Amino acid sequence: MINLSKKGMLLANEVVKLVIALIGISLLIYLLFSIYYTSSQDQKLNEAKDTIGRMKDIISRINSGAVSNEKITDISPPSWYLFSFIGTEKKPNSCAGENCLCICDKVIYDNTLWFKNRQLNECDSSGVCVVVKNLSKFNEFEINDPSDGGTNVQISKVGSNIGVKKIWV
Amino acid sequence: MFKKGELTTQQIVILIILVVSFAVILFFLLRLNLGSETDQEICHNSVITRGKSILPVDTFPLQCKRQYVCLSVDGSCEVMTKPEVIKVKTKDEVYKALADQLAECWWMFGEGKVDYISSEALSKNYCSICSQISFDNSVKSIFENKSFFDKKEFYSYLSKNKISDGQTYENYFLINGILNYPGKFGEVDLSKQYYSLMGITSKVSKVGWVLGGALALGALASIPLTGGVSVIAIGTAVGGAVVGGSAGWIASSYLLVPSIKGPSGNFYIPPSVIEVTSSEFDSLNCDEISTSS
Repeated sequence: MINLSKKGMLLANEVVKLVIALIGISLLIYLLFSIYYTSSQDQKLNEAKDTIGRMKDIISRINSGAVSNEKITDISPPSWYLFSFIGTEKKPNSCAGENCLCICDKVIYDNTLWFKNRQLNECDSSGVCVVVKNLSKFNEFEINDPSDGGTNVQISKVGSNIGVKKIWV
Repeated sequence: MFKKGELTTQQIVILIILVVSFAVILFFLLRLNLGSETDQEICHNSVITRGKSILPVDTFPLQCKRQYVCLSVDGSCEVMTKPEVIKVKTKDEVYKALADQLAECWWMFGEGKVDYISSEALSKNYCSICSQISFDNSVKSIFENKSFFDKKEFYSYLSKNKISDGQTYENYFLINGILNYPGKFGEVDLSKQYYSLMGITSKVSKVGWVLGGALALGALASIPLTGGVSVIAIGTAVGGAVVGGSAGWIASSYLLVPSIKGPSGNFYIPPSVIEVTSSEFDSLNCDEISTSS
């Protein structure tokens, strides 16, 4: 009789137990991380809403002719980005096909291989956008933490359009 | 010889089969997309809970999310990312898709029977955007390559066609007689996006009445038409909201939304199709949007 089964069976047993344990631990880590991430994202979303609200007010004032430009210092949330979606480019659903300004987290691997429209979906689901019909295109930029110097933004009238740029005060 | 508690090959195979079966069932459940149905149920339940509660309504937040819907002939939709695509082939199918969106919205927010807003010193309009609707380029072919259709045709569809429980859409939305509106109904521009929305006007609290809040009821000032339906019109010539008078309508005015008094005693904006980020939307004077995007 061949005496291989015992050794082999022991190994299979240990592997199965190890795999089950690893799956359990991974699920637990995922759950804890999700809870932390959700609460952190909610806080950032509220900060983004505040910032976009302030920017919207400034844009209204500029469009009404009350002022020609205005600055906002130390915008938040840190590590998120300011995006502009203009003209015929694809926009987040919340922009309703109009030019818009968004504050959202930046995704990696967008529009490569099977990753399609990830940035737009991110801005829709976890970001905040405001429609600015006469917005000029600007390059996206990151919002820095105040400890790293913060990020200041100037909103101004450029011809008949609204320009947004990062400035160093 | 096996030790006690060791897994046999048979047990391992059973375990693997169980895991694979679970994955297959999960895959099909996700494919069924039961989530969207659940979102509507969650919203409806939160509205009912607020309406029935003896506690202050703010104790129970509304849990309603905006849906993104795209009407398309060929199933493609370039103007939105990940929308719910509804395939349409005829005008009636376009109107039915819109009517169903409105009916769903009306149902979610209690069909005018639920007061889910607390009384306030000053009356305010609370709007709920249930879905954002876009039209794919292919839809133009249904309308003889025109880029718009008359809203009156849509209201006519609502008055003639029945929803599943036997009553017409017009009856269900409590807008009987809407076709008697003497002015223009406006157009739906297929290149724009539209909200399917409804609204409720808060009642004036006792404090508000004492403070002379009765005047605030004018927030949704309206002129009765027939069957208790009133209308709010907007004048394109003059801009801003204009309420039509019984003496005659401004020639260029068109219907914005009807205004109705629901069984709950509140005034409501029945489910309507309103252009996104437009002067019409601004004219509704929505103090708060009670749905999240």
